[in-house]
Amino acid sequence: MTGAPAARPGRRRRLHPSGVVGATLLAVLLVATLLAPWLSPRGPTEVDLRRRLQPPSWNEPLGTDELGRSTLARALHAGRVSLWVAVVTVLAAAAAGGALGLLAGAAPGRLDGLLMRLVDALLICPPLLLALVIVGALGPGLWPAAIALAVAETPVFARLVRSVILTTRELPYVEAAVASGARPRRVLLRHVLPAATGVVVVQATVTMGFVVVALAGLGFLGLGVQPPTADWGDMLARARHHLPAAPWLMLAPGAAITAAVLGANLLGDALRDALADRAGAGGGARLARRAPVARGAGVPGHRRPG
Amino acid sequence: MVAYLLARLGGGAVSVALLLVVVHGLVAAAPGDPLVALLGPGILGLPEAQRERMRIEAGLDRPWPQQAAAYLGAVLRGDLGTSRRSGRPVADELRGRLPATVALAAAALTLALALGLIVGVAAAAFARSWLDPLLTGALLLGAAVPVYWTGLLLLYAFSLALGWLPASGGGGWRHLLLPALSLGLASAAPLARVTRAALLDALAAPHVVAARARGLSRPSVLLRHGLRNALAPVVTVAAIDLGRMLGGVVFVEAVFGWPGLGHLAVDAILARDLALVQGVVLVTAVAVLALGLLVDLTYLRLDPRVRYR
Repeated sequence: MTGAPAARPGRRRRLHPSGVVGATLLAVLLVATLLAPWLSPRGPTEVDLRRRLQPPSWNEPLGTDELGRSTLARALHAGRVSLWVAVVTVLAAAAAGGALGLLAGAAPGRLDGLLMRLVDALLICPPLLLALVIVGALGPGLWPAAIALAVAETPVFARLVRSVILTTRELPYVEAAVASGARPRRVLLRHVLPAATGVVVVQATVTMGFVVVALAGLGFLGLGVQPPTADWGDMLARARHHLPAAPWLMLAPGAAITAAVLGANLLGDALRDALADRAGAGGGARLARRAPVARGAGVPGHRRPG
Repeated sequence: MVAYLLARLGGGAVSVALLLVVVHGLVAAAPGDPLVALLGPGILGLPEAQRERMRIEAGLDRPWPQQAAAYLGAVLRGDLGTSRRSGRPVADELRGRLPATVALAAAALTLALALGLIVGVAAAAFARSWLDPLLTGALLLGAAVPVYWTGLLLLYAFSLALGWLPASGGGGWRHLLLPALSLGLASAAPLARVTRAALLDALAAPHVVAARARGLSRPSVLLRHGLRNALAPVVTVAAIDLGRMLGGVVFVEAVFGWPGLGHLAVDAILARDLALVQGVVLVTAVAVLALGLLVDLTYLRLDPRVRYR
């Protein structure tokens, strides 16, 4: 393993060590779940009624559940499903939201206004509740839950991409591209859109953590992954039923979710800081720094220093 | 000011109406017979002619825009429909569950604010000692723990292992304590992080240096000159957090069997009681908007430079 090289003169390495820790955490989790079949003592759905609710032991490092299934095997295989579905969900939300934001940012005022009214309307509903409604319409299951979360997160990306497009469009280099005769379509896709990449990556990383929690949460409520497929949320729901007798059942799935979210948050924060540094150093995208701004502060005539 | 308030309320009403139309559309676009979704699979045993009559009565034979308009009109008249599960009006169901969730959210927010402010101020006050990295690390971890796992851990520790508090159900403050603590801990971590960052920013301002130079005591500088100016971002994050917290309510109520709106929403979805689901969305959206307005009005007090027109 090579450590992070010391800051080389001339080239800036801006990722904070905590970001490296976060990325490593995520990578370890993803690799461990990929290797699940080789790391598990048994299959995740293998029932053994003679070994029900056994505490952790040498053969079963995390104990067994009420059907004698291996908790270690189930935790690993659950991650194999949840983490990768979460990645796909976030990518889908970023793509759909990005397309909507691009459309709104490029479209004439009326369509933009309509789209943003819609996005704002969706944003007043907490994403989890919106996801619940969609799962209610589609019926429970892994993919309905994933689709629901992707739709619920789309408005956030749409707003973000639109705001970057509106600010970037006014920058001198875009004006230069227009003046040098590039067609509007090319200006938008080749010159303006790339400026949104950074913020979208940061938002996607942070959203990843939320999606892992929500996906397992829907499983916890019985609305996500359906048994017998292993799922962290479903494991926690079962652990709750056997809590007095087998408290160890709730440790592995909860710790796994926490580790995934921690990794995503650390990486997301470090990426955000790195991006803000680059922007501060005169880089391309002009970014809002992390300090929260009053709601509606961007609306002209809305707030006036007295 | 009055014009500003009216404009905000009007904009909010339009947003809520749009949200309801979108949710109505999502439900209408769902696979399966909408009549079955509305009245339950039991009606499949009825003769075709009777089902057709029920379809017309429920307005399901009309095109979707008309249905959505009819739904919005009914909502404006205060009629949220009838719950399929219980046969009672949705408005009554919501009214029955609202107080429990309001109590839970209020208790959780109070805990989160108290804990978040204390830890955030402590981390900023000891920014150059060993305590700060320790607290910052704890906050990062705290922000990553899913709220339903916190709930399970607290449930095990305080009601099963120690036997101090009841494990499940609604009732007095003893039932409220663990759910509120689970929810409050989840929100305290981000609040403390913002408090720390905003306070460190505020403490770097020239007037704080001047206050120190005049010989004011450290606590006085920290709280009266620092925290006073750091509160605006904290309030913003508290408001955003409240929105997310309302989502987390669903999980906490499921863990502790707390009889609030979140529990109702999950039951409604499991029973495909869509009128009830839409009712929960309506109440939540109105609550989120009201909180947003409340936050903006709070700025007036926190920052005398802010004026609304």
